[in-house]
Amino acid sequence: MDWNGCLEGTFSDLFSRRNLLLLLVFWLSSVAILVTYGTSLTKLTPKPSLSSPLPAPGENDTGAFFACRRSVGAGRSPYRVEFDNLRVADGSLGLFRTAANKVVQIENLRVRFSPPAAPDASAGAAPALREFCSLFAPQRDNGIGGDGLGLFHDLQGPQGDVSISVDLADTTEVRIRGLTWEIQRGGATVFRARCRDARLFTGSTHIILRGHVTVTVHRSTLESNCIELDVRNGRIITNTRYILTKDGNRQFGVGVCFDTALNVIGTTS
Amino acid sequence: MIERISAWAPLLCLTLTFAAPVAAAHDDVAAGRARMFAGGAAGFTQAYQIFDAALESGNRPDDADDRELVFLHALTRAVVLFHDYPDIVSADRFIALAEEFGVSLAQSTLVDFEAVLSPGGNEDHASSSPDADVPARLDSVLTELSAVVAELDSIANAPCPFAISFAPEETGLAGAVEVDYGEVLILKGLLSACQAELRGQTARLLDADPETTRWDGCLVESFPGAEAAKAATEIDLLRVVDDCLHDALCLEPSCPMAEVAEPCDPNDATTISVPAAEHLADAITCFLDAIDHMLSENLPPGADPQKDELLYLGREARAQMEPVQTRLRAWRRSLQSSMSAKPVETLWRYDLCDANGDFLGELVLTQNSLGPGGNGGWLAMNDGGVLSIEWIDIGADNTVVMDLRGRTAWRQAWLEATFSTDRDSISNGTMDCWGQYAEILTGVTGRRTQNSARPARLDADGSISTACQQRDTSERMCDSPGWEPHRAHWHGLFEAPQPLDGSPPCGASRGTVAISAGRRFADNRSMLGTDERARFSASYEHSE
Repeated sequence: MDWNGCLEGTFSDLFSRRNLLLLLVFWLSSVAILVTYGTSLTKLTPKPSLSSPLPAPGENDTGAFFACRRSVGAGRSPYRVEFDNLRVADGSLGLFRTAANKVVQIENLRVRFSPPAAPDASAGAAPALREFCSLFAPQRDNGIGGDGLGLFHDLQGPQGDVSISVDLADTTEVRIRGLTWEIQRGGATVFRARCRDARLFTGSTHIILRGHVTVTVHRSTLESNCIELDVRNGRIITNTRYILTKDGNRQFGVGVCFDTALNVIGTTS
Repeated sequence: MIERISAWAPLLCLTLTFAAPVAAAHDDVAAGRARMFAGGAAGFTQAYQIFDAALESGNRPDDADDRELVFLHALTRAVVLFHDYPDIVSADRFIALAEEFGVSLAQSTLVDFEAVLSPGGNEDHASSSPDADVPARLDSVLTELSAVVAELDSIANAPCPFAISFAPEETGLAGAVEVDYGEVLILKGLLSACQAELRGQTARLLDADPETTRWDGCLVESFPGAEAAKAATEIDLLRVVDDCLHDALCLEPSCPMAEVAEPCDPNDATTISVPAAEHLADAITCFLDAIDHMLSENLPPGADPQKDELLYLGREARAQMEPVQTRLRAWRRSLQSSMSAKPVETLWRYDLCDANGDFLGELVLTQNSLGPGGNGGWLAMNDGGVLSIEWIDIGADNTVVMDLRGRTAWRQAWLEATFSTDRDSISNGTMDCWGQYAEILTGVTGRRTQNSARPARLDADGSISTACQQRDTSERMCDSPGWEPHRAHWHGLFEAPQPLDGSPPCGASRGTVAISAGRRFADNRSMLGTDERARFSASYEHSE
């Protein structure tokens, strides 16, 4: 025999376990809807956006990070940035560590700039080099100590409020393990740099890329194990062996300096 | 090793030279500290003068401040010394040493370093004159160094621990930085190492036969006047001691001491002058004491948090200290018991396998005092190809990345992997091969098979070369003009370079080569200056 019972409800029954659970589900759903709506709004506004609230797996780690900036100042490109983790640690002096500076390590950085159509095509990728450097090179303050990354300065301010929980003060070196860096114009990729290891230093306008580095500009691809980007002078330098593929033709060489359109402009000797 | 110890001098000083104004000074120490952080050589000189006047006046503060005053006086005195004698303790050399030391902060620091120690910044100083008498200036520097070491020696860590805290307002950093007795010991040790180097220079200057002595591949005809000064700036007189120490530090802890201390064949051994050896032993003692001091800090955990210290031992380094200490003690015993030593190069050998367990090749890492890989190595592939390690970086989390470049054809690779804590195995490896043999291998593993210690060879001109270095050099000679230096102040003999596929032969089967700049130095500075290349070219000669 089945029993179906129904007790007359009282006010106190509103606080039954079941009702509380339903209330909680309803409340969570409302919050989720609001968050989703808010996120959508954020994506429509110039503010930087995050795929999720920034996690803080540890005191010195950010966890996965995603942000995009669609509206930037004149002469700059909208961009999107994504990485798996950012870790900050004290710098090292051989066996020892020092509290006098910090090293930031970024895992699997994917960054894409989407500049408007270039008014001057001859500028090549030089502006993009500067933009990358301004975001990821440690900023230099009055002393030798760095003052964090330009990226997080750029994502803060009146139009944005993205911040991370780790302390980036006194950063003097940024190491990127796994880099994919693209420039898209009109939906087409006009520049792509990939490497296993990239390093930027305070006060330096050089970016050192290592580990099967490929730099593709339009239909030309440069491969080497170590390529240095001279941001100030808009040069791409390889002091070691390289393979340059242009329109299907492969050229081999050692120690050459290119412009940002991968035209040879000299040797490094 | 001496390069590393020596590199501490500028580094220790420079990490303190953050440009930032400071509030009004209230006493001599505060006034001097304010000048130190004002930046540049002038600031250090003024700080030194303030500290010196305070010590001379006899109006010395209590014991605690007295130690601080003495330390700061010694520190600024050392910096002024480096600045005033750029041809004896050259800024370029220390910059190269710092790069070789692998100091990441140096990229920004070195800019300041160059500014502080630039000879041009002190043109009015008599000792900068190239015509001045080299032995006399060497002697002056040695006297000063002895005085500085004596000052540091007077600083005790009792009755209360010695510590100086530099506030963010002084340093410009985000937080306070503490300097304690460990830094005192390290500074003392590195200055002792500098003394050893200069003693070596003195000995070589006195003993050298100018008709036959070869310095960096250049025959020095005579020593008087300007030529002597020029020679003193070009020669790396302690290279023999340096390499010898370096290689001896690479001994396995279990390696019998006889390897080091036994009388050697004159063709295999080199002799260190007694004063230089004594200073080196002192430097090692200071270094060991500093390690002991740092290991004893923060015990029990939390008693003295290390995160605000200018120098401290990280958790990962603490686990690796014992073998380093063992090597240092072994070499000190050798220095104290015998003036002869046989340099030994230790090779760490690993069998690499792919994800299926198939043998890929043998990875050979040379070792420095910090562990395997410090000086590169090579990967001998199972198909006969050899890839030399052009660049290697081992992280604190035991991750290792290395740039591998083939000696033949266009075969290049990049290997990422993780060492076990004891360095006995390699796991999670990814090898990205490209060029002629393009493929990406994942799941690469490795197991250490053996270590081998082989004697390094003493070249005819007294320098040490090793098999690995010769391999590298052979390749590099053929790589010209894309040549890069391998390590700081390397000097050696190469033989019979193999022609590369598709490349013209080198045109010589024997020669000597001197390299005066570190690889990291070159990497970070894009390319060598023309003078460096000129020196390289000048030191290369055909001797078929």
